[in-house]
Amino acid sequence: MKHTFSISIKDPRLLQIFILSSFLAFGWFYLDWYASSKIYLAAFAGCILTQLFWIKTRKLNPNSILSALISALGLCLLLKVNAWYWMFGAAVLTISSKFLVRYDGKHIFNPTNFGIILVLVLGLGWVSPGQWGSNLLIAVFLFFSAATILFGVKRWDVALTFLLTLFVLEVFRSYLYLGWPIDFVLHKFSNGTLLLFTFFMITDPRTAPNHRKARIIWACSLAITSFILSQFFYFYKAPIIALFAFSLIVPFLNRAIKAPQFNWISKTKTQYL
Amino acid sequence: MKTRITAVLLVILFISHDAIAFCGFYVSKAPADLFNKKSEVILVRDGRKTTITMSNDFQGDVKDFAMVVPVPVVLKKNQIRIADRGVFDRLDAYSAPRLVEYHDQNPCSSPRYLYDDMMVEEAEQASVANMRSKSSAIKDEYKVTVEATYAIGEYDILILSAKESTGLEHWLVDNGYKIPKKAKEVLEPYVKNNIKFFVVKVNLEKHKANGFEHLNPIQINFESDRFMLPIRLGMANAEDEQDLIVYAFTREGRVEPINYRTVKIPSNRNVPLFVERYFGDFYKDLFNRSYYREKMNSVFLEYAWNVSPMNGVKCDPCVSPPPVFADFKEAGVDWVTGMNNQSQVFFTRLHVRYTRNKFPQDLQFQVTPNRENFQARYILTHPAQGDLSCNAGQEYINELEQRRKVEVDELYALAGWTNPNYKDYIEEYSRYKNTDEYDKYAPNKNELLPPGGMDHGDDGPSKGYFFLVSGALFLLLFLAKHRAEIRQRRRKVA
Repeated sequence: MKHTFSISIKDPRLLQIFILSSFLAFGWFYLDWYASSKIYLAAFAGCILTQLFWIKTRKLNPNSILSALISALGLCLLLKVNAWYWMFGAAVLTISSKFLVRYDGKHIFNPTNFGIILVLVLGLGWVSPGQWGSNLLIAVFLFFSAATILFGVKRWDVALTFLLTLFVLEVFRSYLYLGWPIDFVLHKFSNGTLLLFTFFMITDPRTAPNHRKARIIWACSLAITSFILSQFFYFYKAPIIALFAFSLIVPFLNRAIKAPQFNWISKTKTQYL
Repeated sequence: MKTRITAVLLVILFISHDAIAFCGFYVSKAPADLFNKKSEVILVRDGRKTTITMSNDFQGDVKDFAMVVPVPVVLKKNQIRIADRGVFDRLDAYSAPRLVEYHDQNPCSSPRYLYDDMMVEEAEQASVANMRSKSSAIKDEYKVTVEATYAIGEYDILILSAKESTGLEHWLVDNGYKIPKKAKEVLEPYVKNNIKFFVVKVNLEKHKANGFEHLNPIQINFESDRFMLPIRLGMANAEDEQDLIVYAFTREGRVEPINYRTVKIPSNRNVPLFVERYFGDFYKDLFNRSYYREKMNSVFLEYAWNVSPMNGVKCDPCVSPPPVFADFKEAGVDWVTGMNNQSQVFFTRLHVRYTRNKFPQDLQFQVTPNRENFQARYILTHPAQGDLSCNAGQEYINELEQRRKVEVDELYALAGWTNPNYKDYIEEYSRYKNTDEYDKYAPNKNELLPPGGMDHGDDGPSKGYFFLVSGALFLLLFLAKHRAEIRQRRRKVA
């Protein structure tokens, strides 16, 4: 079948791209992030070129370039590197993981998560959880903008379960048991990186389980694991590591609790731009 | 008019290979003790091992001195030592914000340069909140265990662990330790988290025998996954601001707080010449302004550089000689053994001003592979000397006035300083202008240039470039989309 490049304006990815780009612009201009434009450019070029390569070789629908843009924005927002070529490498790995690490006709890892973990393991990059500061305004904006997207793709259950579970655990341990004042806990939950991760990474409809029940179990265990890792083992990157590990059990969850697989364009009417 | 580096400088280049990228003279620095209520800490992280050196610039009577530091493990005697006070001064001097100067070349004649002597600002003395101590026996009902007692240098050291926070609080109060009110709320979480308390008092007899006026810094090292500085215990009350300067050393790269935002202090800005005289005050006001602008909850980066013995250039320009092997050893950077590749050291200087309300959590850090250099640096540019009556000279005077306007604007933007007399500074050279009766009809070219946007330490292409290239990428995508259509049209034409 010959694919033509067409984007429906109802495609939820367009809104996601818009929101992520505004975060990037905010961080870059207002929060004065470290990275130079070369690094951001490398992320975009790497993701788009790799996606084009795979579209060509696998004869895929060209509108998957939108997913590549989202991955590129995710890399720019979360990953920090010393030199642009590491970012380019991360971008190539990020996109290629979608085509090379597959099971049951679905990629296993969230591509951005995969790219970030690989770069972290190689010691070539880092994540700056503090880069957003603890700004309530950013947190609120993140929350509402994410909500609009997540309702569109019906994946708000994952974000809500994850955040609530983590919050309850944190309140129980830090506030009720250890006796820290409540602003200690709130400080953690106004962290932009955690919210970005919650709303835009674990909710990826392509890598989260297909059935709602499975998704809730999955998000719960993800929250518990990252809580344990951060509280008792002092892994500041706990959620990213937990997501990587838990992506591996998604295929089994999908087998146990069957539901149709998510497709970005199946639910939307195709309207030509 | 272009600024020029001089022949005098070239001589310096040859005699000191450390200063290859040397440009401009260091004239002044803003040392850490400008700030009241500040403390200094050297933080060394190597794998799981953390070495913390705490400076004791305690100003009161030494018999009143006491310190309580939460530590994750019970320290052995060989994990505690007395460090040399001088290492703090050397690291501070080396990494302090700096003022550098350039000299313009006279466009009308062959170069002639004048240099000012180095000038170091006198700094105010810092003060530290008092904590009293008196000794008494440990009672069972406190549920406080003394894990170890050591006599090291002039200090008597206790390591306590507690079963409950109220017991510990009573013990500390009954033993004469004054605990800040707001600090009590963190004793419970520390105790429940199985944190030990490192308690230090001065042994007066040994201190007298030493013959020193000051107290020596204490250095502790331990292995733990936690990489943090407990600031919460030291918070006297909600309103008081305290300054903390962290000199951090790692093998890999920068140290970065993970639960607070790190902001680069404004740097590489051109400021008026008279700032040299008030540089200490200037930096204090600049820091203050940045602190409020960043909503009082950020950590400021003042210096970051690869200071490995193998690495040539360590600052631009250097305020004082770079750390030597003895300094590294004193600070606890034990992996530096000589001029070899294992001796990689990265130096980060962070400046935090914290209050209870804006810093609810202890400072938690991570080591990143980020090796980008940074220094807080402010630039003075001396005008050209001599006769400026030639055409190029006249043009130079106009440019100079414009530049000085920008400098004065920068001074306002950075430190908030204004003074009507700054006009005289801007127009200082107008007397060298050749007068012409038609001058009064000349177009007014002295509009203000926008301040800021000078340099944010980004040596990559500009942001405009980014948009240009990403725009081109999108255009390419658009073309790719319409390729089929275009081909069809071509075929039709054919």
